[in-house]
Formats: sequence, structure tokens, C-alpha cells
Amino acid sequence: MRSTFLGLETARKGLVANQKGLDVTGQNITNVNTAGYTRQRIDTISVSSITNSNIKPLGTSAVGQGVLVTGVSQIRDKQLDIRFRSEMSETAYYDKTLSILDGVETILNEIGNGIQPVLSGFISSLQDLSLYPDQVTNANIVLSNAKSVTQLLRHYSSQLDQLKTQYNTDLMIDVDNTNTLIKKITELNTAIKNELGQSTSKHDTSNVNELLDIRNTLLDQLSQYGNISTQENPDGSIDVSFNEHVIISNKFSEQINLLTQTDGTNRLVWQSTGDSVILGSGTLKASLEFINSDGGSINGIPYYQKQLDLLANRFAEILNTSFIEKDGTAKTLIQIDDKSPAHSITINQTWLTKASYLIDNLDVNGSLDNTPILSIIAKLEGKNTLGTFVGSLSDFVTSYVTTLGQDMSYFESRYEVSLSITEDIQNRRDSVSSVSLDEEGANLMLYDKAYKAVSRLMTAMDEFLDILINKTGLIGR
Amino acid sequence: MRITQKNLTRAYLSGLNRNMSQLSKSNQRLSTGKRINKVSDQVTDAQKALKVRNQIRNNEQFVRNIQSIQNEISAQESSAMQMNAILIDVKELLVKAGSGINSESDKVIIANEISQLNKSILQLVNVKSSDRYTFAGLNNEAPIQVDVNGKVLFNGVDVDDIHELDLKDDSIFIDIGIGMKFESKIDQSSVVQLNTSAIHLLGYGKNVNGTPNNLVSLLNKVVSDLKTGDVSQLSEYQKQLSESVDRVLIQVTDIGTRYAYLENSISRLENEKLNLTAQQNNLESIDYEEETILNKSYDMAYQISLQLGSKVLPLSIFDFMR
Repeated sequence: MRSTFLGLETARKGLVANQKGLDVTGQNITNVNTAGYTRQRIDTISVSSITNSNIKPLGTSAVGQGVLVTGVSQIRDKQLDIRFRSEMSETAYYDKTLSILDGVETILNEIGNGIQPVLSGFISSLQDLSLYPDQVTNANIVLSNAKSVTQLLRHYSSQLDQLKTQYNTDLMIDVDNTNTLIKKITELNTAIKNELGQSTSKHDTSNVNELLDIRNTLLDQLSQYGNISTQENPDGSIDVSFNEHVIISNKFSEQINLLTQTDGTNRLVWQSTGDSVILGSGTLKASLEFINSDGGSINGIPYYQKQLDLLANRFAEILNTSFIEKDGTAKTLIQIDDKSPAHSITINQTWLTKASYLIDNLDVNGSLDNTPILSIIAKLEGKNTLGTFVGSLSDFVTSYVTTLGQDMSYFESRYEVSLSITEDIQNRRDSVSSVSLDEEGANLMLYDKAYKAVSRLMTAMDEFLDILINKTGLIGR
Repeated sequence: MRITQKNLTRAYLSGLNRNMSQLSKSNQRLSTGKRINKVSDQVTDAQKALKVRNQIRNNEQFVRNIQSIQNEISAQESSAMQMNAILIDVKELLVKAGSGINSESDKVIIANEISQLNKSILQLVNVKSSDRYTFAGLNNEAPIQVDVNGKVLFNGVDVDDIHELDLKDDSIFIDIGIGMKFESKIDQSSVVQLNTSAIHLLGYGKNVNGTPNNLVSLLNKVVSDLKTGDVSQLSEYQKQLSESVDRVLIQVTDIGTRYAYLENSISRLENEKLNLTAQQNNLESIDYEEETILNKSYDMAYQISLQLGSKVLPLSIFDFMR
């Protein structure tokens, strides 16, 4: 038997469903520009007439029970999330790398004005001195040019140090951010789990949609620092690993510690185990590599410091072995500390206070003997072995700035590729998850019209009942 | 594919950024006039450009080196030529003295003339041009001196007593960009000799007969012999004198050869410089016409993007709802 008021109840359900539909449309429209917002959709089903299979089927009498709102779900492609995050950490790695190398190139800019013109100036002054080796004016010019070389080497060296310090600070901030993100995600995990626990249906996320958006945004942010992988649990929480190392699981949340070692290099360790943090990509990996590595597969800031040290050492060696005094010992013209050659290279005090120290006693053979001067020129321009490089000092400079340029253009092209992939995935994500105003407009009209129609239904039902109750059986009255 | 407002704005912004960065790079190239502003802009070209710059700087220095020693060498040449002219006079006087028709007083007159000429030779060999003694060795001092006893000294040593083996190498070399090499000592084929040493010009030691090889010392001997009327050694002296003439002539030729070599080197270096500058232009400078056209098109693209900006969010369904 159909119950008398079934129609009214059906209409009521219809009104509720369409009102909810309007609410969700409103939510979507208002959040059209909210970062991380995932568009929502109202899930409805038509109410089944079968209530209990144990009792006798009701036949057609229970048909027409109306609509039921089962929940509000998010439209999101989890596969795209995974791809986005993995590409994001690549992009972030190259981005950080480029920014560090760009810093190095700004310092060691040979194209603008570099160490080569200064070295050439020094050689030039030696050439002039070789023509008139007994003239103090020429010796003066040699001294001031040698000063320029040592000053520039020290300047470059301290600038590279500053750059390193700056990126050290950056790394510290990045580690802090990572730790904060891990904590926030863990907190959100708890919140989502608690909310879902009270929910009637395991799959109904209606009341945590906004929390999920925040968590997804945080996970996106976390993926910039390292390559993450995620595993969703039935209770709604999510497990996160950094390059296979579990950082968030249930109530556990990992933290990263930054250690500066005695040799000035940095190390990241997991708080829980004390093991080194090894990452596949992301800014943490980039900072760590380019602050620490002095050559090999990665040419970081220390690599360029090493090149300057090699240059400073060789320069000092050539100058300090060329002018032989009467007693057979060589004049010390350049002072250098073996621990940090480029950082410490200076003109020897004796020479600094007396320019002619260079050519004093040159007349072991005669005051016009320019052999020591020519020998310096020949050595500076000749074959020097500096690391794996063999050639003139000036070519050595070309060689390491070329290495830098090659590295930069390699990372630039990798960055471009990675960035365009990230943008493409981001675009796809937007295409799936972001709000389309046209769609929402259409929905607005749809729900509006449906609401009006259902209202009519209710009016119709009301009129039926009015006729049934007030007008039925009054015949002949 | 579903297109949303976010897709549109994102695509628009990334396009706008790309256009702007192209425009800004092109602007930088135009304002600096350089194709390469960082090594990473064009790695291989930058590497070449740095090499070329270095070569140009070296080239300029070598030209300066040559120009300043050319003066020295031409001073040597003219002094040596004058010396040669004097020697011809001396030779004639010696012939005259040996002709056997001269009285004792004539011989004294000839002796005095020769003595005068000898002084001229001494002056020539000790001449100074700019700050340097023209015929100095490694010491910048008057190379040949005559002491109170009439002994001819080179660096304080009696020239007659100098033997081949005692003689130090007193050459001064200059780097003119032919690949100077130095391994414990300078490779002489890789440099050019600047000085002509007085000792090589005038000679040293004695021949088998005990007659001095050195011109000044020889002429001193001639003068003192003639003053005492002794002409027994004249033919020996004449022989030695022609050796001296040969020696001076050898040096004159040598100086001339070096001078010509330097001339050649300068024109070689100047040619090289032209080539290098052309290379540098190719490597470093922009082609203004090309870059200007590119810049115009980047600018156009950027402006169009901007105009598009006002339309990037098209009308939506809301604009048509009543």
C-alpha cells in the first residue's frame, strides 16, 4: 500500500537535494580562486523501494520514494597528484641548482670583467719590466699589478664563502619548513581520522573535504623539498615517505636535523635513527650537493673555491721560485697560507713596502738581466699542471668558467623540460579539479529549475490531498 | 579536455612570462651590444671569445715590446755603421804608415790621428740611447773602459786576458710572441736578442802571435808603436785590423737581420690583430639588424599578449543569465 503522504515526503527530499545542490554550487563558485580548492559534487541516488528483503515485496506501491543525498565528494585524480609531486621535486631540484650556480657565475664572471684581464695586466707589466729591468718605475707597476691579482683572488674567495653561507642559511630555512610541513600533515592526519570516525560511511568524505584540500596543498609543498611517496590508509590518514624513508605514519612523524661538520660540509640526518638523509631530488638535495661537493660528479661551490686555490697556489709558486738571490735562495714575493690559499694570498711585506725589492740584487749577473722576469712570463703562459688541467693560468680560468657555463646550460635545459612537464601536469590537474564557472552556472540554473519543479510537485501533492481531505465525500451537501 | 578559468589564466600567465623574458634578454643584448653576457649564454662561443681576448691583449703587448726595442736596435745599427766608417779611415792610415816614405814625425802625426779615431770608437761603443748603454751586456754600465795604465777593460777585466771559456753569456732577450719557452733557461729560438755586446763587436783575447784581438787595445798598441817609430809589426796589425772590420761587419749584418725580423713581426702581429678583432666581433658582438628585427617581434608578441590579457577570461554563462 502506498502511504498517503508519500508524495509530500518525496517532494521534501527533492527540495532538500536541490537546495544542497545549490549550496555546493555556491561553495564551488565562491572558491573559484582559492588555492588548492578541489571542486565538489553532490552525490545523489534515487531511493530504492526495497527496504527489507525478508518481508513480502511491496510491488509498485513503494515506488517513487524520491532522491537521497549520499554525500559531497571531491573530483580529484590521485594519479595526477603522484605525478605532479614527483615532477615538482625534480623541478625544485633544478631550480635550486640553477640559483646556486647563477650565484657562482655572477661572482666568477669572466665575460664582464674577470681575473684574466688582471693576469694579463700583470704579465704586461712584467713584459715592460723585461725591456728595462733596472727601472724602479716599471717595478712599481709590476707590484701594483701583482696586488690586483692577489686582491681579486681574495675577493672572489670571500665572495664564494659568502655565497656558501647564504645558501647554508637557505638550507636551514628549508629544513625548518620541511619539519613544519611534516608536523602539520601529521596533525591533519589526526583531524581527518577523528572526523571520519564519526562519519556514518567510510567513503563519505563530505565533512573533511576542506581538510583534504589543505593536506594535499601541504603535500605539494613538501614535494619541493624532496621526492615523496604517499600511501592512503582506510582510516583516511596518509603515510608519507621521503625517498623510501617513512616520515609520517600513524602518529609517528619524522624530523630532519642539519649538522655542520668540522670540515665545513653539511649533513642532514633523521632525528629518529641518526642516519644520513638521502634524497632523490628536491631543494634539500640540491642545496646539500652544491654546498658540499668539490668536484667529481657535482661541481658545487667548493669546487670553484678549489680552482681558485689551485690558481693562487700556482701563482705564488711561480713568483716565489723565480728571483734567486746571491746566496742561492729564492725571494719570497707572495705570502700564502696552504690551508686556504686563495683566501690568504697577499704580497710579501718586504715587497709591499719596497717595490724595488723585486729587482734589487737582480745584478747577480747584471742589472739588465731580465731572465727571472722572462721566466715568470714563460711559466705563467706555459704548461702548468693544476688538478687535471695542463696549460697557461689564463687558459685554466677559461677552463673552469667553461665548466661552470656547461653545467649551467645543462641544468637550465633540464629545468626547462622539467618545468614544462610540471606545468602540463598542473594544467591537467586544473582541468580535472578546478572550478569551471560555466559548469557552475549551468548547475545553478539546473538546481534552480529543479527546485522550482519540485516545489510544483509539492503544490500538486498538496492539492491532491486538499481534494482528498476537504472535498472528498461531500456530494449532495 | 575540460577547460576551466584556472587553465586559461595559467596558460596566459606562462605565455606572458615567456614573451617578457625573451624581450628582456633581447633588450639586454641590444643595450650591451654583446651576444654573450655570461659564459652560460653561449658556452663554446664564450670559451673561444675568452681565448681571443687573451690573444688580443698579448698581441698588443708584443707590438709594444717590439716598438720599444726597435729604437734600441736602430741605435746599435747606426753606431756600428759609424764605427765601420772610422775603421776604413784607420785602415788607410795604417797603409800610409807602412808605406816606408814617412819620417819619424809623420809617423807621430799618423799615430795621433789614429789615437783620435780610437777615442771616437771608444765613444761610440760607450754611447747611451735612452737609459741604456747601446752596447751594454747585462750590466748597464759603460761597457769598455780604459784605465790609467792604458789597459782596456770590459766589466773591469782586461780584454786581452779574456778567453772564450771565461766569457759569460750576456745576451738580453725579449719576448715578441713566438712562443717563449723556459726550462731552467730561456730557449733562445723562442725569443729575440735585444743587445749587441761590445765585447763581441770589438773582440777580446789575443791571437797566436800575442797581438790583441780587441780593436781599442789593438789601436792603442799601433799608436804606441808608431810613436816610437816601430813599424815591424804593422803587417800583423793590418791583418788584425781587417779581422776587426769583419767582426764589426758581422755585427752590423746581425743587427740588420734582427731589425728586419722585428719589422716582419710587427706586420705579422698587426695582421693577426685584424683577424683576432674580426673573430672577436663575430663571437661577441650582436648583428644589430638581426637583433633589432628580433626585438621588434618579441615586443610585438608581448604587446599582443597584453592586449589578449583583457580577454583572457571570456564571458561566462553568467553574463547571459536573466
